[in-house]
Amino acid sequence: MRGISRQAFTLLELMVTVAVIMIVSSLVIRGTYTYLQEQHLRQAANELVSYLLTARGRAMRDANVSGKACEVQLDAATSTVGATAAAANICNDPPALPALNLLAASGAAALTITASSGNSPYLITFTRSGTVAASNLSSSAAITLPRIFYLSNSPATQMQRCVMVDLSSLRIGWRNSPSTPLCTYNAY
Amino acid sequence: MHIDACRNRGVIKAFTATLRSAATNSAAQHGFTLVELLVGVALGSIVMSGLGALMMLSEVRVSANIQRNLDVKDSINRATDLMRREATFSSIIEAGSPFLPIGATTLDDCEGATPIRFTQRRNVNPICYKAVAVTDLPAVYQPIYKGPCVLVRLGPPYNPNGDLDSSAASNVQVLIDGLAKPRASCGSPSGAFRVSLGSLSLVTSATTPINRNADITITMASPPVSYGFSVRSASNPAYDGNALYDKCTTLSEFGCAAPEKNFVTYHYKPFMNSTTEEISNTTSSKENLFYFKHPYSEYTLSADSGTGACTYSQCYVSRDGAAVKMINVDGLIFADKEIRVFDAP
Repeated sequence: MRGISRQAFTLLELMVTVAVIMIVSSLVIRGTYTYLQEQHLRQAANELVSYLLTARGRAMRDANVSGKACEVQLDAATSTVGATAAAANICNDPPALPALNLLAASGAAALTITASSGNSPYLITFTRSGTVAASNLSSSAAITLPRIFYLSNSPATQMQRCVMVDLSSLRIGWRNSPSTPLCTYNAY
Repeated sequence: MHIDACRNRGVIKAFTATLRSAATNSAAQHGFTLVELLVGVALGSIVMSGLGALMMLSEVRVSANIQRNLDVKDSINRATDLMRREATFSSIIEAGSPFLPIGATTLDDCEGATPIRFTQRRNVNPICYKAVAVTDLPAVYQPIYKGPCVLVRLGPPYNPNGDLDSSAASNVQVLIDGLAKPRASCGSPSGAFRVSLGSLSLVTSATTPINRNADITITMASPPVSYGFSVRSASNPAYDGNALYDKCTTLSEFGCAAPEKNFVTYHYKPFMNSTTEEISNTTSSKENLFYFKHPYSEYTLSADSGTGACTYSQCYVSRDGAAVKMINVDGLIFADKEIRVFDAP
């Protein structure tokens, strides 16, 4: 065993090592936290879209009597989407479509919901043909624009998720910050 | 397993490098120095973070691809459902090619540059579908869609109860984003939105046939997949004129008239006796079809007793001294041919 150094690490060496480890792990933890936040937002957007798809399916299946439709509303204050109490609402007929709290369903710490047009609670009416009523979308002159919901953390500082509701389609997109004017949807 | 193997390989590499330098060093017996350990850890973490980043990138790409494909399928399903439904309730299905010219890409025009047009009744705004370039869309629309071509619907909007709001002005909406652009223009009839009409009768250049169905193909840009489907009007195909008497609700000196269940189409069979009949009780809110027993070539068509051309407003059909004068004429059904009648433009 001759020749093997018996000298241990000095305090300085240990402190340098610990400092390096702390710096590296703080970077990793911060990255992971951001990633998890984005995952929560993505989850919230997915939950919203799948709720709307369920409502659409219900309208197409059950609202075969003229005058009926599936009307749901998204309440930004409570982050809840659910059927309205309207009389001709097929989604409010028993068994009523249960309301969904997006905050609880996504596991996010906070959720801010805004929309490209209209005020909360936002109405979305699926007709028996599976289309969204034109009055729920934003119209100008001869053009009907889709309504886009923006889901973000509170305060909205990071990447946002967008859910676009159009006459016949639902799409999920994202934008890098609330100041970015537009969402990016998956390029077809 | 693969990632574990890579990870192990990275760690082993770092260790081997350190050991090798240690072996050539006379102070090898003293163990690793702090610098050596730090270099090893740094190398290891660089390799690990690279692997982690690759893994995350791949996960993001896969999930984006899945989402994209789901979105494409969903929007195509919804658009085809809508087209089928609107065609079902239409009495007139027309395609831009070869019967209507396609050239311009005017967005809010259901007349000229439109690959397919559904007309429910004459007094209701028609619905048409066409492929246009994203750059042809209004400015507010352009940033939302990727293109290069999009499928747009131009027609009356839907009420919350699911009915078409026929009293409202037509508006434009994008139905499918990301159509391919295989030809120079998005509106090209052989492009990403192709329509071929099914015809119930012999088509000649002299007459316009009555079409009740169409085959439609939509081609996407990425992945370059084509989706084909058919639309069909629920208006009954032309009756056999001789069987029409069984369905008569009105049997008078003018002949026989029978409404369809959907009250969109009315069928008339003139008696065509020796005198000139006049069927003037037709209404422009229905599709009026008139049935004749013999082949098209045996009849003479004019506006009035041998003068002018047979049009929607008035048509005079004669054969062997017998004749019938009709107004609001949508279609003439002969034994061998069915023709659509329009007013002169």
